[in-house]
Amino acid sequence: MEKQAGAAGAADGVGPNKKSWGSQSSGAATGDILDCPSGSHVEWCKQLIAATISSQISGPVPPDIVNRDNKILPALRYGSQVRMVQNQVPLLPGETVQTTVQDVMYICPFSGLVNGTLTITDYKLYFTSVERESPFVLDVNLGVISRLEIISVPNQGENTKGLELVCKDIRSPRFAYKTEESHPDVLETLVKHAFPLSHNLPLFAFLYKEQIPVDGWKVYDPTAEYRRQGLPNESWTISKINSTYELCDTYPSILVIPTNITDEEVKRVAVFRAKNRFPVLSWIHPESQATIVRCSQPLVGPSECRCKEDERLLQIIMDANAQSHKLTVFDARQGSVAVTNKAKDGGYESETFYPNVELNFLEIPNIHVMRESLRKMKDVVYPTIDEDHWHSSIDQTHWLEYIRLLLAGAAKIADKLESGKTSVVVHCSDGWDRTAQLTSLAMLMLDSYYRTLHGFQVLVEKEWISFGHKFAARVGHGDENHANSERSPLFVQFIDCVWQMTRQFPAAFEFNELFLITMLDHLYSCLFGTFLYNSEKERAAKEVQTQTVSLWSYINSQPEDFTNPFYVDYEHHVLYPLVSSRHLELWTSYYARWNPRMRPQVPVHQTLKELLILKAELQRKVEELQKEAYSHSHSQSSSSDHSPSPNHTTGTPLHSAV
Amino acid sequence: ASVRLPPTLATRQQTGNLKSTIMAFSHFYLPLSSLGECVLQRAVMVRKKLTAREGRGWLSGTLYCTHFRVVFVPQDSPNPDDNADLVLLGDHDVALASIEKVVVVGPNRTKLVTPNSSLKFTPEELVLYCRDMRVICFLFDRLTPDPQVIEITYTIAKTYQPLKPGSVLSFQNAALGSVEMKQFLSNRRRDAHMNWFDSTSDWEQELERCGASGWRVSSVNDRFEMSTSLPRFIAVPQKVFDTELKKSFAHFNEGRIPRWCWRHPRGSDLLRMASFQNNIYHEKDDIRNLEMILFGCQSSLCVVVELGEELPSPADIQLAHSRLRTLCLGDISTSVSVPDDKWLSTLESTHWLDYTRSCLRKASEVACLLRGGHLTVALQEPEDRDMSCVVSSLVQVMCDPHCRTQHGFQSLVQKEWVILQPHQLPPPVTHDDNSAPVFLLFLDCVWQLWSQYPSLFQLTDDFLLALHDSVHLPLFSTFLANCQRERCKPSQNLGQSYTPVNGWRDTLHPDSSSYPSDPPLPPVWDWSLQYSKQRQECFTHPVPPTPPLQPLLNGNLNTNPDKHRVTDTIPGSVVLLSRGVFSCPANLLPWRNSSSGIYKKSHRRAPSSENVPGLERLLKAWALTEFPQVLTSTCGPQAPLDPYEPLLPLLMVPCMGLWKECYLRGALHAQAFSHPISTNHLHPVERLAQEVQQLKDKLAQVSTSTDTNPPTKPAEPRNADTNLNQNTNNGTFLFPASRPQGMGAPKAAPSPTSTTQHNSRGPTPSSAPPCRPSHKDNGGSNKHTFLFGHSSVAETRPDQRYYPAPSNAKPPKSKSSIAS
Repeated sequence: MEKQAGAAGAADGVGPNKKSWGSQSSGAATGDILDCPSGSHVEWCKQLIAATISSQISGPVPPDIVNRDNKILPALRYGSQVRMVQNQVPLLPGETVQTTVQDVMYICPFSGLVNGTLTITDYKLYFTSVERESPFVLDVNLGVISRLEIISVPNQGENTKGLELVCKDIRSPRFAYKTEESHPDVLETLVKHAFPLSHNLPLFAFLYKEQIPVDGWKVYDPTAEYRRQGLPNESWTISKINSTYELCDTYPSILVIPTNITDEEVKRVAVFRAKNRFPVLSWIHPESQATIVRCSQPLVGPSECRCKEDERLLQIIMDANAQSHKLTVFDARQGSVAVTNKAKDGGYESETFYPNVELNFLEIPNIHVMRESLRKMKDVVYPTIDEDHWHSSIDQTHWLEYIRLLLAGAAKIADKLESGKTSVVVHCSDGWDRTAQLTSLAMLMLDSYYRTLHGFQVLVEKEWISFGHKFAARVGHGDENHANSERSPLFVQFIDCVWQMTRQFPAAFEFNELFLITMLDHLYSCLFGTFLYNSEKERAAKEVQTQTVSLWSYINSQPEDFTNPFYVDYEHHVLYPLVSSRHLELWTSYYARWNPRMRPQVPVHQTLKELLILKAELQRKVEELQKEAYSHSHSQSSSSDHSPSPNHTTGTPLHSAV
Repeated sequence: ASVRLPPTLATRQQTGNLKSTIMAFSHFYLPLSSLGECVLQRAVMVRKKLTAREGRGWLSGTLYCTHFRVVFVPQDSPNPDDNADLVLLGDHDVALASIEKVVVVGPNRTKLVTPNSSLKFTPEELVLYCRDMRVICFLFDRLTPDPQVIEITYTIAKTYQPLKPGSVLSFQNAALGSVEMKQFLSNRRRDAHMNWFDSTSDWEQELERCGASGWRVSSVNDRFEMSTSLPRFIAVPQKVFDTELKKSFAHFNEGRIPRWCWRHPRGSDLLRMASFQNNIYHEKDDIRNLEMILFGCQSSLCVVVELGEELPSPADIQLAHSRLRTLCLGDISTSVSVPDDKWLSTLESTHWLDYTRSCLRKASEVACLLRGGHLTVALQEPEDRDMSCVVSSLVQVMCDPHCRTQHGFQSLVQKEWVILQPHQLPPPVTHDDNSAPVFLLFLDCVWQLWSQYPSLFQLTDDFLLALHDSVHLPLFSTFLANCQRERCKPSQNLGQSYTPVNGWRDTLHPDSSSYPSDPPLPPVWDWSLQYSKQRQECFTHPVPPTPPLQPLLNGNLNTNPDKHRVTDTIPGSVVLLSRGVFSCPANLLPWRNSSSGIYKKSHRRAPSSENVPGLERLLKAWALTEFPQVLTSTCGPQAPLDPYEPLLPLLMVPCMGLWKECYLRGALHAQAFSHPISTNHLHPVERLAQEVQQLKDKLAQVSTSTDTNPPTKPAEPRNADTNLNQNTNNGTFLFPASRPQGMGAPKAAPSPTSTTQHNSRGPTPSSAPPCRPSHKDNGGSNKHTFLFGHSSVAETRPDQRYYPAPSNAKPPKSKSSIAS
């Protein structure tokens, strides 16, 4: 650990990075900005992502390919232009080049050493090389970097430094570069911009100047979402009790709580729950009125404290659903952990104090176990894959085992609501990690709205972002303390569960795999404001909504790229995924996507898009012909009462008594 | 109104008269009962568990055991259509010969039922484990009379075919032996769309199709005098006369001389041969002939691809397959179950995926060589029976788009497996346990290719699955006779048969005077005998395959489209490819061995090692690019490539998938909950293909029906059908039948227009897709209609389609739950 990035960087503080502008050998007119006639950033960015999962290379391409091909990109969609600097680094609006270094060696784990030019901006690291048959580009956004490590590079001369970028998205590119005086220190620049918060710099999201006509910040309106669920109703009310975040600073300002409880009582319940995260409604079943309620653990403590108001609140929640005389509490933790938590003032709802409550432990390990599991996974998939022991090494990471536990837990919750018509209370310790995973997965199973492109955004905004999943702490945006034990890939795990469901129900989701991968990429990138900070309160203080662009703006400005062509709205279907490990798969197109040997020849994303177009075309044709047929039949006999129009059905009352 | 109403649970519950219900059931139509089939036992009110393919959930009906199959007749199945083709097996039926194990589940216990066992409890569930890895599960209702339950269990256990000699024959007789059936089968026509490879003209047609000039069909083995295991007709170089040819048989193991299999459009030929006989003296003339046969029409370069060492042996494959079966079947009668966290490790230890991978790798190498152009690739295996079939057919699937169509694939199997190399198709019942499932390995490899390139195949995984299952059914001539010789000489007692594990041995049929001519066995390609029209329609994609795109340089063998011709080779060079390395061992061709001495006079010694770098370039993994050229990759249409560019699969272990639709069909271990689970394993592409087909149908309909009488009742489109299908699972979360009209029209699925799928289909208009004729307009639909609710009965009484009828059925979700 003496090779710590920060320390090493500080040690060799060489010249300012501006030097690189002058030292560019190739740049005759440095900083010359080409007005590219086409190619908005978004288009470029989309292609970048598309390429990571399913790309096509058309053989050897001439070196000027980047410039040339930008010109044949689809027409510009909204005014903004990608600025092109001379050395072919595409820049985002608001992005500035910090340093450019020639003669950098990229140590590719798949094809050996590549010599080229490294450019560092305040958003990304961009390496290009033209020495191969096809130009080589490596583009890593700085947000994804977890830590920087000095490595030794044998046989490359004394003043050669090696640098490894350990990334959060399961890769670790390595570079070697000469530490000559004319070079600014790469490491220092990288450290500064990869971890801006540790250096009193703003996150790039606040510098990003893209103008997207769609406003993604309008996607989630809590009141509208609760109205969609049929709230408020006689039992539940939309409360402004937390409008100033005083009662609970990690909860959103708008909450749904039972009608029959006073603000005083709520405040007392909040005191009894960890981090003041008292039980509030997440979702209500449109028919049975059974609800998903989320909260944190009760502060029972070693002395078995009780809270009358808390007991009464759970009773009211149970009574709000007339269909069942039970209330099920799903504690996501392992039972033994919940017991030991009592010693730390935590605990669980004792069935003796909470009559009619049924307590279930879902036995899901904590965030540290998950972090370790993904770390093992990285060892398995990057950089090399041990082909002889691939399956057993996947088993040993236990990653799929935890995916299974989560899906099984969520399915239990969904089943309890749907079949048991019973309200459930879900919590873990603080109610922002496993709880968010479980409630959002259960809601995804229960409510087809959340399986649409728009609905899924609402789900993430609601259950994760507004309810205070600590994105900043779990991801560590712009923070160089990589060893922070608060970090854990819980959102990745959730998206993996969603992906497993899309595999099992390929037609039930309106979004596609690219959407899921895009979300994960921008979870780290700090390009958009969506996943920044820990709570709604913090985001309000930082004016995220006015100062940054939402990821959903980007997504919703081109929904066709993220739409699943096979989508059929299974409107009233509850999806129960198979949770046996035989039916789960490792998401190799995400975890192992950096290995070029894993890239399929048939680009999945492109095929999907083509199918989408084909489908739209056919549907249009069908409608045209139907119209034609309709007018035909009408002109022939006006008495014809049967038309082939889609909405017309000669209704036999299909609903007959049982 | 004329449709007879099958009794349903609802009516039963209303009347409460059990006896009358059973009476009603006993009148129920049993398909095929007119063909001399006798029903041994029957049980009423049985529910069949549907697989993922069928939409999951349950289907209620009546279970029969006849003397050759277990029949399940769903209660809503329509009346027999007198014009419907006779079928051997319906969609819900199981041939007794397919059953491997009968297990019953009672209260708190499970029991394996053997012909001799006696039951001490009344089973609640009957599970049939099949040889083709299906697991079929029937549930008995409380209302099913106990004696029926016990009797049908006994009957099945006693009449299914345990492994014993002669059982195949008796099964065949039971299934096909009746006069009516013989009559019926004799009237069936062979499918003219495929090449059967059993006449000279068939072979000539193939030579022509491949543009293989310089080759001719020889009937030198017409009477099997040259080689007993070779087919009657073989393709050999034109310049070699039959008289010369005859002399070369002795130089090869079992007389399996190099034979032409396929020509790549760039002019390379693919041959297969057995190993050389070394202890033979090479006459000068022999050598000339041998060289000519081996080099075929290419005078320059021959690459001998050694298959024996790198690829699994039949014994390996057998072991791997049986481990895979054990793992995937999840037999509940043996308490051995793999814990969830060991699943992948256990799968790895079967080595099955390793073997598919090594076959695909070898085939990819050969495909790359052939693409190099103008050389001969000869696959050599000691006995030319096992892996040479796999590799040769895989190469053709990879390179030849024709072999990726249903008929092309059937022709390929006919050519490479049935005619050229007949031994490896597992004769399923007689020696199931010791024949190597090499053909199953091949099917798995094709499935791997299919799953990586679904849009480049016209056939679907449904077709592969159907073929997989049929292999296990000892009813088809395609898989039963061991070589063309047996097929041609039906009445001759062969005395012995060959299995790759045990070698030559006495045949299991001492009474083979009646085998295989009586009863006559149909070919497997007559799919209508086993599969309804609907299921056959799923064998192909309605959307034509898209042209291949510019390859991605992912470092996976040679994906570079540049033409790397091997030039400047000295004529007569021979190179060996073994373990991925090219070499020129001196004794590769025994007659060129220096000891023979004769060769030197007639041929210049070829310094063939000069070719090695050129050949290596053909296989070289082309530039790995870590970050693909995004800006070049997704913009603009890419020029379609040569359609004969091989489909090179990803060969990394993580890219080898498990064919879950085949091996994990037994849903028993997948029960996460006590109630059935809704899921849908249709491949996305397939789904869309269906939808496109449906839209095209609709187009056709609309364009033809404009002048005809308007349709009268709504029929749900296919996607909605799947919906319904899924819905059969659990009444508690299903509302399709009660969904309010007009609000349900899903965005993606074509809305339920008031069109009937049946009446306006007649003449296919010119706007209809050329790729598949519509043929839904006959009685073939009787297998599925009960599910899809076309009949007015189902339309008016929707709730009765689900069993049990949900007593607490909920009204549809209120509109407030729908997104605004």
